[in-house]
Amino acid sequence: MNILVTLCLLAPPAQEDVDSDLERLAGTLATTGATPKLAALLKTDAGRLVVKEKIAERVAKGIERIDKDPQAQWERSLFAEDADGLLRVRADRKVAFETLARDVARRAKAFAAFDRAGLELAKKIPAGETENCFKAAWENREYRLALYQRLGADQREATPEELWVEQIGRSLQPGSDGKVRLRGSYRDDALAVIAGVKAEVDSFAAVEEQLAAALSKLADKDRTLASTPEGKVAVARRLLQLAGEGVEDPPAKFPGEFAGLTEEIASLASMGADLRPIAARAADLLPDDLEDERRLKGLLKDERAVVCLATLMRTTRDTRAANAAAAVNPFRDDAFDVDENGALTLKKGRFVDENAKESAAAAQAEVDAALAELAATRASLADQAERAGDPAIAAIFQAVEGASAVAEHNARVLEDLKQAERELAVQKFIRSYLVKEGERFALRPDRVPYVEAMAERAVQVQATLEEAAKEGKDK
Amino acid sequence: MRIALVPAVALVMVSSGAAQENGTPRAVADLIDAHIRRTWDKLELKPARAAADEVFLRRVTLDLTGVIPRAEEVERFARDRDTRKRERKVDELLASPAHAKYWAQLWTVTLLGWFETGVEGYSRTELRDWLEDQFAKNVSWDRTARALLSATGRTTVNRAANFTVRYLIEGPEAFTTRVTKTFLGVRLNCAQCHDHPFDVWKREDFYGLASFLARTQAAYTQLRGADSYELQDLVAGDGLQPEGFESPVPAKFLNGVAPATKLWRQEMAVFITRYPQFARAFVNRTWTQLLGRGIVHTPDNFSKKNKPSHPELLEELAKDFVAHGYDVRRLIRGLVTSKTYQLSSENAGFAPGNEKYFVYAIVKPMNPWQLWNSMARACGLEKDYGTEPVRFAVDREAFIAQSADSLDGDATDAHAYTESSQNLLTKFSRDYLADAGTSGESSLLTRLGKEKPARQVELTYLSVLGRLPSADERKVCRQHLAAVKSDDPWTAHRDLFYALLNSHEFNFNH
Repeated sequence: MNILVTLCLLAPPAQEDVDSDLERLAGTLATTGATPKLAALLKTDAGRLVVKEKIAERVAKGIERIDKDPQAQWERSLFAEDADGLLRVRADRKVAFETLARDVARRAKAFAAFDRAGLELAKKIPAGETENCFKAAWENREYRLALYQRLGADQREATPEELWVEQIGRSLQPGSDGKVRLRGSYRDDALAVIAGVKAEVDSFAAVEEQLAAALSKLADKDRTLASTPEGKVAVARRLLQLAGEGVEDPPAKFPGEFAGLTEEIASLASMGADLRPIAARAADLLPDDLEDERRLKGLLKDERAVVCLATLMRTTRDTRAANAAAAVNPFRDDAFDVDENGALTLKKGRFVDENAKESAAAAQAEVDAALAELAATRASLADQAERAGDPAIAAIFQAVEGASAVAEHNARVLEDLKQAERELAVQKFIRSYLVKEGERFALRPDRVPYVEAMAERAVQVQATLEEAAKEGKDK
Repeated sequence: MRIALVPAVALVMVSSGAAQENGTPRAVADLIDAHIRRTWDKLELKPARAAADEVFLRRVTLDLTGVIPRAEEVERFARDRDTRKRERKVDELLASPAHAKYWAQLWTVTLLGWFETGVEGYSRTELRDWLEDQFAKNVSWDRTARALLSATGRTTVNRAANFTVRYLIEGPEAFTTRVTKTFLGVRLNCAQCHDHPFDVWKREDFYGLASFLARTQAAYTQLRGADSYELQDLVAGDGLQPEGFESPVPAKFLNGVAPATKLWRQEMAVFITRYPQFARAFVNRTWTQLLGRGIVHTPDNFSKKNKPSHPELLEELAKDFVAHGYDVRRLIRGLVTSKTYQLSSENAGFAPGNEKYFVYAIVKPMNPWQLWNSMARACGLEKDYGTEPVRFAVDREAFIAQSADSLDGDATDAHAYTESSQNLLTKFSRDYLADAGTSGESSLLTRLGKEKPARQVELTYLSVLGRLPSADERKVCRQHLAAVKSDDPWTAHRDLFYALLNSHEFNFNH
C-alpha cells in the first residue's frame, strides 16, 4: 500500500467546490479563438450545470466500469501481465505489494490463536442434533478458517499502520495543496491525543536534572540503553512515579530501578521503530501555517514525543490482541447461550425451518454457507496463484489463512479507484478539453463542436431556470 | 466597476470595503429608516429616543460578536468625539475574527438545530468551521447557500457536505423541510402528509421538491479507520414515490417547472438561490437576528396568512441584497447603522402591539454563547479563554449543552430564551468568581486591586454592564463595600460582581 495513502486515507487531491473550480478555470482560459465560448459557459449557472452534468456522466461510466470487473481492476493496481500472461509486480507498486505481503503473512500467523480457541470451543459444545452439527464444524479446520476470514478489523491484530491511523492518521485529510490537515469527525480525538502527548513531554521538564543524575549512576552498557529516546522516556516516567509516591530523592534509587525498565524500553523501541518512518512522512506532509498541524508536526519530530505516541499505540495494539484471542466468542454467542460456569446451551429459536420449528438442517445450512464461501475464496486464490509470475506473488495467494488481508486490500483499492473517478473528474475534463498555451489554457480544436453543443444546451437550461424562478401561487 | 470587469467572481464580495464601492455606505440604513418612519407617520407613532452611546456599543458588540464590550472599549467609545464613530465601530466589529466565529455558531444552529445527532461520519464542528471561513471572507450568501445545497464528496474533505448529509440520512423529506424553512422561510412540512391546511402547498408540491434529492446518495464509508459520508449525485433515477401515490412524483420546482438537467440536486441548488424568496428569507432572518423581530414574524413562517409588517421595505431590501451580490456584511452594516436599530429600548408608554412597527428597540434574551462569553469577559478570563485551559473549555461546552437541553429538540432559533441558561450562568459564575482573585493578571479582581475604591465600583459596572454607575448605585455600592467585614478583602467585591452578573440588565441585550 502506498504510504501516502496510509497516512492521508485518500490518494487524489480533495475537491471542495466544483462551481468554484470551474469559475477559476474560466479565469485561466485564452481570450482568442473558440476558447472564450467555453469561458462564457463556465461563467453562468446554466453553463456550469451543463458542464457538471457532462462530468457526472463520465463519473457514472467510470464507476460502472470498475463495478463490471472489480477483480481485474484490483489486479491492474498491483500487477502487470508479462508476455506469457503471468502476473508481475508493477515497478511503481513495489512498496504497496510488499506492505500487502507483510499484512498477509501477519494475518496468516495470527490464525493460530483463533484456531486453538476454536478447537477449545468444539470441546465445550454439548451433545444434541443441532449441537452435533456445530461440534463437527468447529472440529473442522476449514470451518474455523472460514470464520476467521469473517473477523472484523477490531477483532484481529493490528498492523503499525493501522495503529497510527487509529491514533492520528484517520484525522489527517489532504487539501488541494498536497498538505494534510486535521479534519473530519476524528479531529477532536486526534487533538486529544496530541494534547496528551504534549502534556506528557512537558511533564518531563520537571525531572530533567534528575534524569541526568539517574543516568550518571548507570553502568556504561545500561547508560547507552537509557540514553536512547525510549530509555529516557522510561526513566523519566519512573522518576515522576517515584516522586508521586513521595520518594524524596528519586535518582538515588538508581541504578537499582533500572533493571525493571529494560523490558519496557525494549517494548517501546520495537513500537517506536515501526512508528518512526510513518511519523517522519506525516511530518513532511503537515503545513506550518496552521496551529494544531504545526503542533503535531513539532511532536512528530520530537524523539520523546514519538515514544509517548508509540506508548499509546502499544496500548491499542494490546487491546486489539486481547480482542483477537476472544474472537471466537461472537461466533459462539451467535449460536449458544453461555451460563456463568461457561456451559453452552443452544439458542432457542435461532435455527428454525420455514415453520419456525427448531431445525438442525437450518444450522447445517449456515455451516455449509461458510464453507462454500471459503471454497470460493480458495478457488479464486488458487487461480491467481497459478498465474503468479514469481514465488512472492504466489505466496500471497497461497496463504489462505491471510486471505482476508487480500480481500480488504482489494476493497480499498476499488474504493480508491471510485474515489479517484469522482475527485479527479474535473481535472480529467480539463485535460480532455484544454491544452496549455503559454500562461493560459486553450480549447482543443477537436472539442469545439462539443462546447458548441453544450452552449446550445445551456440556453435551454437557462430558460428553464428563469421559468422556475418565476414566483407562482406562493407569491 | 468590479462586477463588469471580472464577471466570474462578481458574486464573491470579499470585504466590507467592497460593499461600500457598490453604492453609498448608508444606502441600506437610509432605505430602512425612510420606510419605518413612513409607517410611524401614517400611524402617528412617536418613536423612542436614540440609544445612548454605551447602550449602542453593548448592543452591537453582542449582536455582531456574541460578547459584551470590554470596560476600556466603553470608556474609549465614550471619549470619541467623531460623529461617525458608530459606523467605524460597526466596520471594526464586522472585520473581526470574533464576528465570523459568532455568526458561524448562530448559523450552525439555524442549519442543524441545537442537538448533536450522534451519527458517525457527520461533523457539526466541521460545518461550523467551514461557515466561519465563509463569514470571515464575506463570501456572498447565494454562494454559501449553494455550496451547502450542492456539496458533493466526502464529509471529511468537503466540510459543507455535512449539512446535506445531516438531513439526507433521515431522508429527502427531512432535507426538503429544512431547506425550504431555512433558505426560503416557508414551512412545507405539513404538506408532507396532507395538503397544507392554511397555505397553498399540496403534497405534490412537497414531493415534487423532495424528488430533487432522489438521485443523491449519502453513502456511509469507513475508509481506513475514518468514518465519513460520501455525497454523490447520480445522472439517472426516478423521483420519490410516497405512500398514496401510484407512481413516482416527478421532480419539479415550486411553480411546477421540471428540471432541465440530469443533476437534479445541483439544479435545485441553483433554483433555490435564484428564487426571489431566497433573498427575502435571508434579509428577514438577519433582520430578526438583529432587531429581535422579523418583518415577517417568525422568520420561517412566510405564508399567505402571515403578512409582512413592512412589505415594501422587505421587497426593496431583498432587491438591494441581490443587486449587491448577496453581500452579507453590507446588509448587516446597513441594518445596525440604521436609526431604527439604534433606538432606545426604553419602551414605557408604548402599546405592546407597536413592537412590530419598531418604535423602540426590542429587548433580546442573550443566547448561551453570549452569556458564556460575556461572563468570561466580565470576569477577566479572556486571556485564559484564548489559551483554552481544560477546565474552562469543558465548562463552556457543558454550559452550552445544558442550556440547549432546555430548548425544543428541533429548535433552530439561536436566540430562544431559556431561564436555565441564566440559572446555569449563576452556578458557573459563582465558581469562577471564587477563583477570580487568583486567576491571573487579566482577572477583574486583580485589576481592581490596583485601583482606588471609587474607581473599583466604576470598573466593575463598566466590565459587567458596560456603563458607569448612577449616583444612587455608587452610594449603595460604597455602603456595601464598607459594611462587609471579612478576612478575604475581596468578599464584598465578589458580592457586587455576582449581583451584577445575575441582574436582568446583564442577561439581556437591550
